[in-house]
Amino acid sequence: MTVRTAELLMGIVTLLVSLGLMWNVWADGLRIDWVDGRGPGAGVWPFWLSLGMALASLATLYRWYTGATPESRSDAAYIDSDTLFLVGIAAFMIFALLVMMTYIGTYLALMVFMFFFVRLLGKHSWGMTAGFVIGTPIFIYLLFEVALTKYLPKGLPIFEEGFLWIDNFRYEWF
Amino acid sequence: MAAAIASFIGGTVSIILFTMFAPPLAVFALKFGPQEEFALMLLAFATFIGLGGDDIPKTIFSILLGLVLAAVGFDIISGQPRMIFFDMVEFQRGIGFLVLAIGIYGIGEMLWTLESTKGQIKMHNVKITWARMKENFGEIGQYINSTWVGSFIGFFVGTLPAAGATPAALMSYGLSKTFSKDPDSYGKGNISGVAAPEAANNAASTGSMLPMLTLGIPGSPTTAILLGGMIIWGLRPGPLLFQESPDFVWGLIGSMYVANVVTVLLNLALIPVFIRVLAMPFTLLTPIIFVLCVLGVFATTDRMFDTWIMLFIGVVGYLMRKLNYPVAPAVLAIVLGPLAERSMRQSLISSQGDITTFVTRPISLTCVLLALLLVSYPLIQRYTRKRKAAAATE
Repeated sequence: MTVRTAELLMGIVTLLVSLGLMWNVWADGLRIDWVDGRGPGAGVWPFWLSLGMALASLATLYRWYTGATPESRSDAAYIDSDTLFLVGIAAFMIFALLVMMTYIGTYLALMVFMFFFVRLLGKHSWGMTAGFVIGTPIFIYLLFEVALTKYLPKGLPIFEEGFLWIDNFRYEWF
Repeated sequence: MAAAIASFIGGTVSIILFTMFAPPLAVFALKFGPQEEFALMLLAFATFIGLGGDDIPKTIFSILLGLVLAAVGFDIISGQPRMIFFDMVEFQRGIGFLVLAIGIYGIGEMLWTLESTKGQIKMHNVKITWARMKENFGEIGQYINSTWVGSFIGFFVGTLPAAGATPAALMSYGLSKTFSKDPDSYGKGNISGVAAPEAANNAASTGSMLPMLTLGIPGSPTTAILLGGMIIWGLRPGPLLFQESPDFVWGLIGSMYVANVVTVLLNLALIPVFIRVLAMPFTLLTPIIFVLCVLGVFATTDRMFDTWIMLFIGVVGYLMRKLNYPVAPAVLAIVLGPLAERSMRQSLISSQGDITTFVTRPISLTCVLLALLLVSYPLIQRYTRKRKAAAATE
């Protein structure tokens, strides 16, 4: 996909998003005008700003049509294959991290996440990989759960129960 | 070395100017009502449109998107739920600015860095010795004048919303070159060409704190995030902050002096360490940053839902940035959104819906006129350029 096509698609998407936001205000039954005794309705701010967004999107589409923006004249690739690989894999791994955090808990998810980046993607030594895979969860546990007293997600009950002995050990001895 | 020293001087001059100007500006700002507050925010957004240098419709879209996203959740006046997308109850708590800021500046920025560097590290082999540092110290006289120029320009440019460090650095470079005895040597190794912008960008950072603390209007994305942080801690930046929380304000100003000294010491002593960190392969640095982004957001809100929003915003922000949609105005708008809506609605309620309330008070009228001037500035510029081109062809 060229940059020119991407700008057209982005213009259409932003226009649809703007119209969607306006529809959302209308569907919620929020007043977009003056309400006697109460002032501007709750929908005034989001509705009229969304209309502004729609107009800005139309202006972008018009400028695309007339070739006024550098992007609308560019036939370069929007995302080349190298970038797609790097960015795609990074975004996918964050996605996978979030899914894993929900099911297998933060710490196991972190170990898998670090193993993927350090060993599989970075091809670093086993020593370095072990350092990051083991060191990161320990550092995160000490920072978030001990220092900041934040309870991070432990996943499904089976994983959460398996983790409880660490907390028990900590509270019993420290 | 010269950059570190110039930055220190720029920072110190800027903090002294800040200490001098902040109290009188805060006293002046006590006269502000909701009309003035709203007009001032309008001015901040207009500055991004007029002087931001980005595509205007895209900048406007970015600002408005930020303002709309800030409205998600319960209405601040009537208490009605609004913008609850797909009837998901999680949206009732709104979208925190930290979630958006980390999405854009954490995830989005990292994806952008991955694209621009292709995961490769570009690092020169730098050798730093004490003897070389001592030698550089002795050269301070060569660039002290341009450092002063950069310091003063940086501070005043930094106080303008949307201006920030880059225009300050460019302006000070230009001015320093203009007044130099040897302007041709700029860009060819003259150390003054480094000192002036370095002093200016550091001074601008402090300068941008002035409108944030005294008026409650952040001048840059960084100060917008600071403002958000203060709100989380129950403080309301603005003129009353100097009266209600003097301990906090003067403590903060005092910390700037200390921070400036500590920074120059760290800069000089730890340059080799910083270089090592920057030279870390992306396969080590990237996952650490991603993990801190995800857990940082979770720790702030205790909701996995917000981490998903962060990822979504980060990827969308990256895709939009590739098409020249500016992200800084959106972050500023997210922070200012609730304040802007409240002041607009308070103004209209107090005036019984009379929209002229924004132009019948001298301060708000001045701000509105300045905002209009800034918005029309690119059009004026284009018209002038066309006339010049037409005159040249004749």
